[in-house]
Amino acid sequence: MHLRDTPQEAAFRRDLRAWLAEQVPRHRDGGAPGDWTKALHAAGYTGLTWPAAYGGRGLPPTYQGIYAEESALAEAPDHSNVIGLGMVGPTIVSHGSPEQQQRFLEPILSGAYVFCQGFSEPDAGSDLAAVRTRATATADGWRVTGEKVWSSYAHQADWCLLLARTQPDSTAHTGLTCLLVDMRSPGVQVLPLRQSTGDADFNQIVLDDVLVPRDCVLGPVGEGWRIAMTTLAHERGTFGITLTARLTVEFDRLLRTVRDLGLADDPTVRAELAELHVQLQALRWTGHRTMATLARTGKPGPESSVLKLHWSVTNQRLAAFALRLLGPAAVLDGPDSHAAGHWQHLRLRSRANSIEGGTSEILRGIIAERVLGLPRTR
Amino acid sequence: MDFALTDDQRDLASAAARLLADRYPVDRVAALAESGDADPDGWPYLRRQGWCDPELPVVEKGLLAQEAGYALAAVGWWSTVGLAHPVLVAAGRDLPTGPLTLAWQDDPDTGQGTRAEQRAGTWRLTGRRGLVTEAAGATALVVAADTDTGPALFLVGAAADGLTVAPQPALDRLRGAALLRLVDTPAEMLVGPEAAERVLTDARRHAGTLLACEAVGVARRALDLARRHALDRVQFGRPIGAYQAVAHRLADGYVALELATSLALRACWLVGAGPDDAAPDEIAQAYAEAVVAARQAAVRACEDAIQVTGGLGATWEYPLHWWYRRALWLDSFDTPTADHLATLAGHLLHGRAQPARPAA
Ligand SMILES: Cc1cc2nc3c(=O)[nH]c(=O)nc-3n(C[C@H](O)[C@H](O)[C@H](O)COP(=O)(O)OP(=O)(O)OC[C@H]3O[C@@H](n4cnc5c(N)ncnc54)[C@H](O)[C@@H]3O)c2cc1C
Repeated sequence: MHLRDTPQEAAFRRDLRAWLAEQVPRHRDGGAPGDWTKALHAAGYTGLTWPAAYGGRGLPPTYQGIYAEESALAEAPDHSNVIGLGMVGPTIVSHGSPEQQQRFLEPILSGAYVFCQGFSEPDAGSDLAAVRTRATATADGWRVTGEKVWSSYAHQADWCLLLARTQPDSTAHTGLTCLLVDMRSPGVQVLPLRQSTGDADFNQIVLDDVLVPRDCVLGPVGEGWRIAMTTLAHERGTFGITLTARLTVEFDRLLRTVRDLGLADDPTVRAELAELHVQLQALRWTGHRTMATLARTGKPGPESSVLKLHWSVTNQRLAAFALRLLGPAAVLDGPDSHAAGHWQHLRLRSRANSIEGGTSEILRGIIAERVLGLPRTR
Repeated sequence: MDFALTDDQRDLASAAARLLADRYPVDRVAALAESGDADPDGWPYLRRQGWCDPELPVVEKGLLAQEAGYALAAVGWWSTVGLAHPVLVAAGRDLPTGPLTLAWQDDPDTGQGTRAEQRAGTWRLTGRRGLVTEAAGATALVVAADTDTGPALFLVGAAADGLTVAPQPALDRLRGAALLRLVDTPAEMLVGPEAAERVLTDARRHAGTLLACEAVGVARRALDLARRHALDRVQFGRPIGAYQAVAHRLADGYVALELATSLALRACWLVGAGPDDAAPDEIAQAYAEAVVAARQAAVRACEDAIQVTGGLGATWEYPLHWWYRRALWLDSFDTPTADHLATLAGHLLHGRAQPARPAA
């Protein structure tokens, strides 16, 4: 056990921090989707943990942790290819054919292919296995019809990792297949959905007789559930560290708000700040433990399942507290309000934290069943 | 960074767990608690097992403390190794073989403390010390007393003249609480006023860090008891663990336990790393963070377990309340949670707050 960066890790962190300090301001106001990935790729910061054979750097997971931490702390742009790099890429590394690895991995790393994830449907949310999007066999592939919802980045994506039912009459986990769908195929329609914050960064995807060639089936036909679970496992991997680092940034901002509002000597404010700080530190160090377990055993330990769940609780608590600090002025929004509406936005946005990426109820169920060994509650 | 237990550390923890499970099955713990006695042979046994080895790093001691909390081991190991040994080490003394304790708190009832005077080359202590832990079995006591030039730390034999050790009824009978009365009691000075305050602070922090680990062990035991019950107890035709209200409560308890474990182990590492590897502020904050999180996790796990075990959990016979009593003791002992939070707020808002950002 050692709680400091190794000299190599420290050097990596130093270089990365310097690079971010220079690059982040240039990319702050967006640019084309994939631009940030391209910049990262040129500097060698994509695919840190991917095997070198696939264009990665083959580094241990701690480096991915350092990357996640530093880029959040530097307030690097929200990554439009987070799904490609963090979820789809690793799934292709594990389950793709050599041709697919050849075709997709390099463009994912370089930012040429931005990915979205098409799992959820109007009738398949928590109960993901209820997916109804239908794929019927054609002479050289599949014809897909159905509807996906809440698909983040779909409006910017080149490709979608889609979960579809390839076996008619099958139910639940069987008969599902993962498809790599070109978003420019005829019959694909992306309709933006507006979030309660007013932002529109997730979408409905309507698929109407979309042709998907056979070589775009990821993994065996009928094994889509297993493949999708690999993807979700990656989602819950290092992402916890990124979320926690972003929470650290919010906490720093909260301290500024407390000072700006002249509340730094209020004992109830101080006590709540300290409590939040303890939760934040607990998340941070649990993230480091997860990383170390991952490095040692190749799979995240049971403690990793707590990160996303407790992160959402803490982020919501922080957002609620921050907005309460504004007093009656919390009713304003936009440029006239404190911090230009930041806390109003966070408060609204934070409520989705316990829904996106698996609801808190579903995550508690996973912990109860898989970690505590309790019976199935569904 | 490598925040994982080594194989040796894992082996140490599982060997300790086996040893304590053998020695302290639940009914033995309950019987010892009922009688308010420590296990008379427990101390030499743990010594032989290397639990008092002065070379043990803090992380290793933390792992033992976790297991001790899990088993509710009825031995004065924590008071000796956690509280008293650091004072003796700071004083450059050899460690005595018997169990010890440290008395520094005033008598909460009268507010009375202890004074030290030197007469004819011998220090003599008069006054009171309260809330002394695991005092009954101790062969000697480290006692804080005020000299004319400031507080100092003394060693007092258990059989010294003018010393009475009066056990007081306590919420946690296994840890116990004793009131010391000292009347002109001869004592040996260990640490003089120039360093006593610092040495006492360090000893309390060392011991408190181990208590955070103990709290983690208590939480884990309570969660295990509840989990076992949730699997066995059938109502409405299903094990109660199949109901979400039960399962999700336990899942949340598990979350709190894992978070507290991370902070407790980190605090051990930093306390053990010492000022060369860790800034004093960082150690102070990590300690406060660990204590706050671990106390909350222990109390919560016990209260959740009581709820999940139903009427059984509310009885004297069901052993859970011994762990709950320990959790409540942990929640109150030494520095109050509100003070730890105030310390953290002070660091965050004024002082040189430890950056939440890692050093580059
Ligand atoms: C901001 C955001 C981004 C998203 N991005 C994507 C994306 O990119 N791709 C994608 O595929 N999906 C995405 N999602 C979808 C997300 O995964 C789903 O919203 C989520 O899984 C819940 O499904 P649902 O919305 O249908 O709610 P439901 O499943 O209908 O759940 C409604 C409520 O019922 C509860 N509930 C349901 N079943 C149970 C049960 N068995 N026991 C107890 N409680 C239960 C839930 O916890 C929840 O509180 C995103 C969602 C959000 C909010």
